[in-house]
Amino acid sequence: MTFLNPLGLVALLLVPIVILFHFLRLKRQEKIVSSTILWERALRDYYANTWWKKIRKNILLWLQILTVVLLALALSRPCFPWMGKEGGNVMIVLDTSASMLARDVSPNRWTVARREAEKIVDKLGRNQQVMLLETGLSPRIVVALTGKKEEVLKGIASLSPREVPADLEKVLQFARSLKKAYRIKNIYFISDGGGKEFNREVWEGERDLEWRHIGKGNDNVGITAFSVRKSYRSNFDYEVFLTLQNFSNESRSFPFTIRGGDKIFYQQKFSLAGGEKKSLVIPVVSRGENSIEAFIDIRDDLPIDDRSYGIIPFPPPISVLLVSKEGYFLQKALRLHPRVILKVIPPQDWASGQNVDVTIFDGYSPSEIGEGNYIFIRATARNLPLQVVGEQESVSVLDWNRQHPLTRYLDFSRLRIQRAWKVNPPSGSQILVGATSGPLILGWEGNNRQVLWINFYLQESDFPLQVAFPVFLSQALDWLVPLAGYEQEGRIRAGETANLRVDPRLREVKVIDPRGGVKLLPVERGRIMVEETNYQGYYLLEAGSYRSSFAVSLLSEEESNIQPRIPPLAPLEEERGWETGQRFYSELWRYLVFLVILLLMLEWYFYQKFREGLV
Amino acid sequence: MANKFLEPEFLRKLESLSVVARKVFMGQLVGERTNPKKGRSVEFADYRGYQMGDDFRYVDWNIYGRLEKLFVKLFREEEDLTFHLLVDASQSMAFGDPSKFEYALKIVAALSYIGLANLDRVSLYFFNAHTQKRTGPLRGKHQIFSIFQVLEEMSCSGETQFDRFIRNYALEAKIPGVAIVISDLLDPGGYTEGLLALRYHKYDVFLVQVVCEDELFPPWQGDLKLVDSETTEKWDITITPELLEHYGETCHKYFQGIENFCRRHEIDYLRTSTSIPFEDLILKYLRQGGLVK
Repeated sequence: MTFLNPLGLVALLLVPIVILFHFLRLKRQEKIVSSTILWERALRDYYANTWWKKIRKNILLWLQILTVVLLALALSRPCFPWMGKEGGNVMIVLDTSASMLARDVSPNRWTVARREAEKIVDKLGRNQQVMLLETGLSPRIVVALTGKKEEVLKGIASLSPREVPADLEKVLQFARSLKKAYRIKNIYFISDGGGKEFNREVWEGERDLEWRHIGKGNDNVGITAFSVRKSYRSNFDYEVFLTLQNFSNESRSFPFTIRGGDKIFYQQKFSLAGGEKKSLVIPVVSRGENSIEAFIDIRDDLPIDDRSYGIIPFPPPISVLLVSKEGYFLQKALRLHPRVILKVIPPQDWASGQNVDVTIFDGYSPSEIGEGNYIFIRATARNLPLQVVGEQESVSVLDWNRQHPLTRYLDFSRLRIQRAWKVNPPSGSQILVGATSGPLILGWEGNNRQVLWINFYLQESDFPLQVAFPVFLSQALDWLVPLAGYEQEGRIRAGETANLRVDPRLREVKVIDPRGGVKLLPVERGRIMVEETNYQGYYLLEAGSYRSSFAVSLLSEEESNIQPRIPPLAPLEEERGWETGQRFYSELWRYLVFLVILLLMLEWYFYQKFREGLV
Repeated sequence: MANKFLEPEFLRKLESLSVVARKVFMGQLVGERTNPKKGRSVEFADYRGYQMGDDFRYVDWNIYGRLEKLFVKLFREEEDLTFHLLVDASQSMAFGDPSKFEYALKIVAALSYIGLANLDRVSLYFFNAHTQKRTGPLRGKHQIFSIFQVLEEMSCSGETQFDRFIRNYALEAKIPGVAIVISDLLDPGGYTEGLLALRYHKYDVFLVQVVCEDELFPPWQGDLKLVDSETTEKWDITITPELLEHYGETCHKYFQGIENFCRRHEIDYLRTSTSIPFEDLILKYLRQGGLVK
């Protein structure tokens, strides 16, 4: 038993006051008798006979003291944890993370957890309301607080485990934040405890939280890391980095395969001792295969982590339109780029609305440009915010941004420029290379346009003769035309939001998940945000003729480790037993007040009887 | 001769009574009670041989005629008896309706009259924590007025020291006789030593315990503060029917204890309540108790 308001016990100080009042208030009628000798003897014998008679002598006082004690107890709000059907509003939190797909209990953890949730709903009292939450990397309210059991059962039935890791700590904090607002009395947390490692202190002191633990085994081997990256040895070679881990206590052997489409890149039999972890780097040579998949053939409790998906970062071509009178150096450098499909037109032939990835204006300033990616070389457009304020002569580079993807790894210190524009950089622009009298190269994004300004003629500088020039141009194209999934290299983990660059001219992109679910997402500033990456596999991005894809894998060591993890509250629950029903903290003050009323009535009864001399 | 204690009609009835002494006491004056001593009464007792100086009037000349020897007739001596009336005059005797003390005074008056009428000597002794009054011994019927006078003046007050004063009286009184002790025996100090002292000094002890109805059957209930009339000691008490029943049992045990004590020490004991008519007490119960005949 605990006290919700221990300060109420201070009322016990009233006991001595009651005793004092008792002796002060009792005005007995005086009766002179011849002698008290016989009364003395009678009383001595009378009260010596039984303890009850002794008590009865001062029964009113005892009743008053008992009343005060019970009243003090009632004020201190004692409560008992007990099992029963009655109680306040409850919240059921169902773990829908990947580990709940483990088959260590029959048929699997998820089914057992769902039954447990249904059992709790069935046992709820008539006046109880319930809220249903599901876990994941971010918790979600499935059913808002309702008294309709059918709705909650329907909500439970609508849930299915997602192939994502769980963040139980975040879920608990979220549940706590709701608890007060919705006057939730008990939170039932139905989970296997798997997922992101949580801070145990967070669970301590959470009295109204009841952990319903699911799962018992740990027989699992999984792929906990997987990525495909370009090999340093060759432009066309790739390598797969992955980690295999055996979470069981027993040694396990299994065949391991890496394939891309129908082509098997690698196949080997592996053997891992109990708890062993092995990291591998496997070279693969792609001949056009875009996707790559690694899997182990083993029968364990959690099949979902036996497979991982990736995208071979095979770069698609970039169509470049060069609007230039001559542009010798540019043409030469662009033609060397393996991804570029170059088209060169004179300025008078240019018209807006060209369907190319990048347009380069070399010394030609068009009146207006549409949305898209542009490189302006000593040129600009009227509908762009760059203001040319003058000229600068014999320019030397003062500094450059060494972190920006456009200018990193490059050395501009020896760059000499005969003449360059003096400009006011537009707001939001990034100065990539600067001279003493202003910026020389700027990057800017806005209004679905991505623009790179080079404020000097290439032929009026020694830039084309420097090593940095082709690299700069290559990095500029990569910056202007990023590849969805390319830079991520298949490393998007299930549950995480995929922030992908797509063709900035697109308005929206259709995303098709591995289970065939379709969602239309808007393109904002050349990006889409795919939040629902709940399942492993390949996600296709489609918009007209645009095609791209990215891969999602579980890749969660915490989730693959299905060994049951019990938070600190669990021993308490084990003491009570799992199947005894629901736990409630029932306050006893109502009963105590009822007893106080009974005692007062009893006191009144005795008082009357004493007055009448019947007792 | 009547007064507030005794009615004339009742006095006439008393004249036919006498106090019974269980044993024969040596008197001082000629009275109406036979004595082992040979004396001058008309009741023949024995003969003895004539001796020089004997009164010739007591020589039995008939025997001399037959035996030619002089024998003198001896007669029984008749002497008086001393009644010691010892009365408890403590405050506790003031209770009852009539009060126990008033009732006791009537007993004293009646017994005194009986004694005086039988030429016995009557001695009165009123005590509480002090000796309140000591009168007598008085002899002769006319002394009844002195006794009445004393009784008129008497009142009860203060605490009792029963044992102490009865014992002192037994030591001080020169002529033992019938000691009639009248008290309610509600002395916390007890009563046994005083009575034993009387017995030790050869008194024929008759104990009359006077109680009142309120003591036997208290009419109160509820929360009370009982105040002892003598000691002014106070007792907080809640009187319940059960307690009253228990009180009755306690009284019974107390009286039983007195009876047993008296029986063991050859003390005649009579307990009376003030509710019993006084005449019935004297003419009926004292007779049955063997104090008067």
